[in-house]
Amino acid sequence: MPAADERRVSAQPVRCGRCGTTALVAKFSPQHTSVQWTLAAAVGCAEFRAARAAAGGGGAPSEGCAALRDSIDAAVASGRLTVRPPAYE
Amino acid sequence: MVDNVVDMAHFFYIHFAFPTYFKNVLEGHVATQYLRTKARPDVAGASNYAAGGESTLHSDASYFGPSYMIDNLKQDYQGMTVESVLTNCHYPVTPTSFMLQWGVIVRRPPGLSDSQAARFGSKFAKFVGVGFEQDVAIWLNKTQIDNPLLCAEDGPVYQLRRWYEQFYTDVADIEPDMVARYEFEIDTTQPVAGWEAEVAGNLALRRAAADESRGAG
Repeated sequence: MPAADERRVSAQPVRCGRCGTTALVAKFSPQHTSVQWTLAAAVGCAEFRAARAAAGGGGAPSEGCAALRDSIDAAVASGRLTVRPPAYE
Repeated sequence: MVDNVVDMAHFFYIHFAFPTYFKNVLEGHVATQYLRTKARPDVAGASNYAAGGESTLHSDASYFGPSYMIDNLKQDYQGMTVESVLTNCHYPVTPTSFMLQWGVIVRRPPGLSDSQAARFGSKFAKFVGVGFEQDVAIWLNKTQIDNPLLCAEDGPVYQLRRWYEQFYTDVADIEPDMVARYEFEIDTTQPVAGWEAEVAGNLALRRAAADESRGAG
C-alpha cells in the first residue's frame, strides 16, 4: 500500500447545469481545480457521451466537460464552492 | 518515470519552455497530459520545447497502461505547423534499472521533394529527441520517494500512483478509485508571469555583459 497524501482536502459536490451529473471538486486556489468523477457520473455526462460516440471508443479520454467547468466557475462565483488550500494536519 | 506526466513546473526548468496550459486526466487505464508551451527566449533552439522565436508546442500525451506512452505533438514555428508523434515505452529489467525505447514519426510537410522531406524528418525527429532526452537525464538520476510532501500547486502525484496500482492488482480486485475519472488543472498565468520576469532578468544580464565586453574591447 503506497503512502498517503498528507494534505487534507475538502472536495465539494458540484452539479452540472447541463445534464445534472455531479462530481467532487476541490479548488486550492483560483488557479487550481481538481475534479473526481465516479464511474457512473463519467458515463452519464452528456458531453462525454457525445465525445465517446464521435471518437468511437479507444484513444485518450475527453479533455474535459465545458458545461461542468462553467458550473464550477458559477459555484465559485456564488460562494457555493469554497476556494481553500489543503490542510496539513 | 511515470510521475513525469503530472509535473507542470519541469517544463520551464528541464525543457526550457513556458507551460501556458496544463491539465491531467486519469481515466480507466489511460493517464493523459494536455499541454501547451511556448519557447523561452533566453534558451533558444535547444529542442522542440524551446525552438526559439515565437515557437509554440501543443502536446497531448497519454500513457496507455503502465509503460507505454503516445505523445501527439503539434509545433507552430514561424507560421509553419509540424505534426509529430513521440512514442516511448519502458519496463523494468532489474530491481534498479529499466529498458527504455522510443521513436519519433514526423508528418511530411507539403511541397517538399523526397530528399528534402527525408532531411527535414530526420532533423525534426532529432529535435524532438533532444526534448525527450532532457527527461531521460532526470530519470537516470532520480529515485522514488514514496511519500513526497506536496504543496497546493503540485501535480496529482498520489492520484497518479493510485491509478498506476491498477496494473499491479488482479483485475477482479481493481478499486473504483484506481480507474474513476480524475482531472487536475492548473491555470499557469501566474507562474508564467513570474518565469517571464526571471527570463527578462536573464536577458538583461546577458545584454549588460555583452555591453561590458564590447566596452572593454
